[in-house]
Amino acid sequence: MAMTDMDDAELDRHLKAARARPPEPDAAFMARAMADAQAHQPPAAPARPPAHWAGARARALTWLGGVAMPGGLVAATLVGLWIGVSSGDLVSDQAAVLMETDLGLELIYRFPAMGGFLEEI
Amino acid sequence: MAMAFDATSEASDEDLLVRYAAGDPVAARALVARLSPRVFAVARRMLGSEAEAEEVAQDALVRLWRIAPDWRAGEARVSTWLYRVTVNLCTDRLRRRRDMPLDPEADYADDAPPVEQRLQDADRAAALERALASLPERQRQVVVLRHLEGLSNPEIAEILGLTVEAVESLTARGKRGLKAQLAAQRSELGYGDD
Repeated sequence: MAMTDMDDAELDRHLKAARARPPEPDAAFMARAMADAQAHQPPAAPARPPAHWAGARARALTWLGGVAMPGGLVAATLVGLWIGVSSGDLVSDQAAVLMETDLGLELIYRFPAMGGFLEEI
Repeated sequence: MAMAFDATSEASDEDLLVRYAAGDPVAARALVARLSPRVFAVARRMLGSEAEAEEVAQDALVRLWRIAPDWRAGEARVSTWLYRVTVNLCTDRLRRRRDMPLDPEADYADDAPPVEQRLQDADRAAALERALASLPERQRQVVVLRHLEGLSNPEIAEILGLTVEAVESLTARGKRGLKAQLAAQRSELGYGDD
């Protein structure tokens, strides 16, 4: 090998040394890179309550039962009232009074067939 | 400096990017710390200019942040995608540079002080940078990715859209070119003495 030639081993050493000392960005560049990353980052999704909170809520609803389902309670009351009326426990003047109250209107709204019955008695 | 172990130190780039897209600030910091130096180093070695390397690296990273919400896991590695973007941006810069007169104030490697004024390690690094700058574009890209970034030939082939055989051929020609460039400075750089 001539004095001015470079062999593979020398070049490999040269490249290996360069690889071990990569050019490093300065702190200002790293700060800009971090600012860019933050500026483009989508916002985090809103936090959900922990799983044990969800379980406690479900247990509370089960325990409350009808309170959690007020519609069912009203319907049951109205059906009971209708059964009572249809059994003849109410006299006709009481039925007329009932027809003029909010409860009567609610009964007719929910049970249209009952409107004719109340008028008949 | 060794980094302290934390939950992000062993996470893959892909996992961190998913967490980044979900708004995790820890993932954002980890990705910046991990990827920014790599992207900067590649750009610096391909462009030979600190200022241009910073601009390219910043541009490449912003493109990654923008694509993060749409990133489809399993289709590509984050590092491969980022190297490809960086190489393409460097290529654009080099082509534009060819069409423009050189800025005498720019910090190109060719403006480095004479070899005699520098320490040997710095001399060798500067000489390598000049030799790299003299290589044809594709050869320079392959040598930087293979020998300075330590990537495998298949990964380089994927990044540059070449066959593995083409990468091997470019690497061989690039190394021959480097040896030819460095040979003239061999004794000044201290080769043969160590």
